This record gives sequence, C-alpha cells and structure tokens, in this order.
Amino acid sequence: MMEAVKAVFKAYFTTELVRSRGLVFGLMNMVLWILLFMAPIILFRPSNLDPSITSAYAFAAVLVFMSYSMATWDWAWELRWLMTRGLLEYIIASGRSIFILYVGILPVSFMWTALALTLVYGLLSLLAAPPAIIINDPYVMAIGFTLFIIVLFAHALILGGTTISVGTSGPVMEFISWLMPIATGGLVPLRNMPVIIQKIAICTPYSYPAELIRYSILGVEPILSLQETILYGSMFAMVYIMAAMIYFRMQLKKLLKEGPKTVGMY
Amino acid sequence: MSIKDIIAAEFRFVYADVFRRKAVLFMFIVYPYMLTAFILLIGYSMGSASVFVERVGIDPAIFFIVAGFTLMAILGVGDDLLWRPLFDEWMGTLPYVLASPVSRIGHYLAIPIPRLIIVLISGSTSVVPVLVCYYGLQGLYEGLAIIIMTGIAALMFVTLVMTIMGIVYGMGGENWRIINVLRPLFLILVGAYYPRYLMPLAGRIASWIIPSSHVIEAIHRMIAGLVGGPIDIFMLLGIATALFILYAPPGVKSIVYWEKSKMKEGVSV
Repeated sequence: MMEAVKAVFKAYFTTELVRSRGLVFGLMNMVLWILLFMAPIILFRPSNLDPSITSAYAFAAVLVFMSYSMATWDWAWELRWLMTRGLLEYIIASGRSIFILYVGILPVSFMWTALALTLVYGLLSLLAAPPAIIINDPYVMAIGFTLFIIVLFAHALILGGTTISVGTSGPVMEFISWLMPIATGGLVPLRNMPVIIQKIAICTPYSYPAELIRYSILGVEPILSLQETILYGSMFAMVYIMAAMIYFRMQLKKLLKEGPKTVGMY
Repeated sequence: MSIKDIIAAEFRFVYADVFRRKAVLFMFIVYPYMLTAFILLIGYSMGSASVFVERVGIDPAIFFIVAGFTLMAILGVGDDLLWRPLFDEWMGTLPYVLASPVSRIGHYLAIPIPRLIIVLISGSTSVVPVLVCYYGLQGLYEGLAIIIMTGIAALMFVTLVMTIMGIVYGMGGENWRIINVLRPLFLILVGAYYPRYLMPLAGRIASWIIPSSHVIEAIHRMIAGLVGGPIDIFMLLGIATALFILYAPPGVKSIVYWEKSKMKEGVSV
C-alpha cells in the first residue's frame, strides 16, 4: 500500500508543483484571483480603522475560503478528473481502495494551500498592512482546525460522491464552494451577520470550526458560548463525517452498477 | 460552410448542453448575486457603504451587481476561446476540428457568441431588477444600456484573446498553464471590480491596452452619473473599437500560427 501512496504523491507533486512551473503559475493564478476580490473590499475601510485589523479579517476569510476550495477542487473534483481522463476505471479495477489515492494527494494539497496562504499574507501586507494575527488560545485553535479538517473531508466526500454518481458539473461545484462559506459564516464572524444567516449557519456543521478559528486567531467571540461551540461543533462534525462516508460508499456502489457518467466541457 | 452555419452549429452545441444541464443555466443567473454577496458581506463587516460611496461614487450594491455581470460576460468569452483548444485535445476531437474544411478564424469568432447571448439575457435577472429597485423606470433604461454595453465589452475582448490563445497554444507543451495567470490578470485590469481611475499609474497603463476596459469605464461613468465632461462615454467606446480593430490582424495570424504548429507536431489523441 505504501508503494502506491508514494507513487501517487510523486506523480501529483511532479504534475502540480514541479512540471512546467506548475507551482509558480498556480500560485500566481491564486494570488491574482484573491487580489481581484480583495482589492475592492479595501475600498470599504474607513481611514480611521487600523489596517492590520482589516487585513487580519481578510486573511481569516481567505483561509476559510481556500480550505473550502481545497476540499472542493483538490479532493472532490479529482474524481471528476479521473473520470474525464478515463482513469477511474483503472483504479476501480486495481481492487484497491480509492482512498489510497487520497493519502498520496493530501500532502501535496496541504503544501500548496500553506504556500498560497503565505503568499496571501504577503499580498495583504503589501495592500494594507500585515494581518494582526494573535493566537489567543492554542487549545481552541487546535480543536477548531481539527473540526475544520473533519468537516472539509465530509464536504469533499459528499461532493465527490455526487460527482461520481451523477456527473456533477463544474458550475454546481463552484456554486457550492462559494455559497457554503458565505451562508455558514465562514467569511465573516457570525456576530456581524444578519440574524437569519446566524440561524441558518448554526444549523450546519460548517459554522462551528470557523467560529473557533476566528476566536483563536482574531479574538472574535462566537455567538454561542465557547463551550457550546466546541460541544455542538464536535457533535456536528462526527455525525457529518459518518453520514458522508455512508453516502460516498453508496454512490461508489451505484457507480459500479451503472458505470461512470459522461462529462461536459464545464 | 458559411459563418452563419458555424454560428448555428455552435448555438446547437452550447444550448443543448446548457438546457440539458439546468444547473449551468441556473448558475448564469446566480453568479452575479453570489459574487456581490461575497464582497458586500466582507466589505460591510470591515467598513461601511458610505466610505465606499465616498471613494467610488456609486452605491456598492449597484457597483458589484454590475461588476459580477460584466465579469461573467468577459470571463465567458475569454474562457470559451482560451480553453476550447485544450478541451478539444483532451476530448480527442482536435484532429477532427483541424481536419474539417471550416475557416478556423470564423470558427473561433463564432465560439463565444452563444454563451454570451445567454449571459446578456441573464442580465434581466440581475442588473435590471437591482437598478429598477433603486431608480424605478430610469433604472430599467440604465439596466438595458448596461446590458448592451457589457455585450460590447465582451465582444471587444475577442481579438485580444484570439491573439493570446494562438500564441500560447502555438508554443505547444504545457504552456497553456500561462492562461491560468492571464485570466485573472485581465479581469483585474479591465477594472470591473476595482475602478480604473483608482488604480496606480502602472495598472492604469496596463488597463488602457485592453479594449474592454474602456467600455467598463464607460459603464462606471454612466452609473455614477458622470456623462459628458472631459472623458465622454462615446470617446471611450471609440477607443475600445480602435483597439479591437488593432488586435484583429495579430489575432488572425496567431490562430494560423497555432494551426500550423499543431499540424507540424501532430495532435495527441
């Protein structure tokens, strides 16, 4: 099994980061997209507000957004790539679990996101001021990031499962990766959101990790008490990952029965 | 095959896909709202609308719904042209495209039209209702004018994109990765999300060479009520048209260069 993991890691590392200056182009692409949407946000900032606070809020929003993007495009969308290239059949026919592929992909994916976030930090420092990130509570931060990763895995399993069973299109994936962070308080502290969005957000597993991360690095109090946020967040995350695993297995079975779906340009 | 037949074929290809996959159609309508919500939520949480109005001269809700719509139109045209050769190569249809007795230039001019028409129609569900909410009947006229001008902005992008497309794919290998950098760079420089007049000088100079950016500035001036004055809207449209014409010969040469390089190296199937 380790051999397969190593082979996948090497292949993806070379393709995504090394070959044809993939890392350089990828990072430049990401920075420019962030710049496109972050530059106008600075136009809202009153001149008397500390720019490092604005930068810190923007950085936290980008962190959450990019993590959703990683789960959507690196993990869930990978299945669609495998279908497009006709590789999924080979993986299934090899008799190995599809998750072995992901053990190889994840380090590349995390490396890429970490590099991208470092670059975003630099970009925000240039545009406004270095983000004022202060770790208030390392314990809450660890819980927040752990729950966040679990929720992201579940998110990717749901999207990936849907992709392999019905051939979900790119626009749908894009819609979800934009809508989820907006509607679940991923981008902005729930405290600053309208009441209706607060109510929707706390009914989803997504809001709790984001609230904990923001509390630990920005000092923004969650709308529920800290203990409640940790408790409900953990429960939501566990139920969500289990439901996502069951759902993914069901879709995989369906795929084996019906065969892979055809795909379109977008 | 005449240009009319090529356009009709592209219409069938795109519309069959869009109407079969209703999610794609849905996204055309939702995108401008989603992008607007994204920026307004973060913007309001970090500052205020009045600061934005003071700096830009336009209400942020109007500015960003228009920005989302124009972005969709320009990005649609750009993506249709920039990714099609790669899509054809991956799908194994490129040899048939190259072997067909169809004018390559006519084909690439026809490619973005069907999707652009859908995007422009979708303006009646985003730009028009928002402007009507703000300005009543006057908003309806303004909304329609924005839709027409956005169509012009997107079409003005075609010859520049053709030039880039031909060069990038003509270079062969995995040089298409450069497109991933050029797409967002162009979108920044056209000034839909960050008005050109607020850009630093280097940004403004780079923006001036993109035909669509002049039309976008004309749209901003119109919604800010800055019609007339030293920089007239029609003057901006004129500059955009001149640049569009200027890029046409290199665009044609670039497509021919790509075709020749593909014929020389052979296509992977």
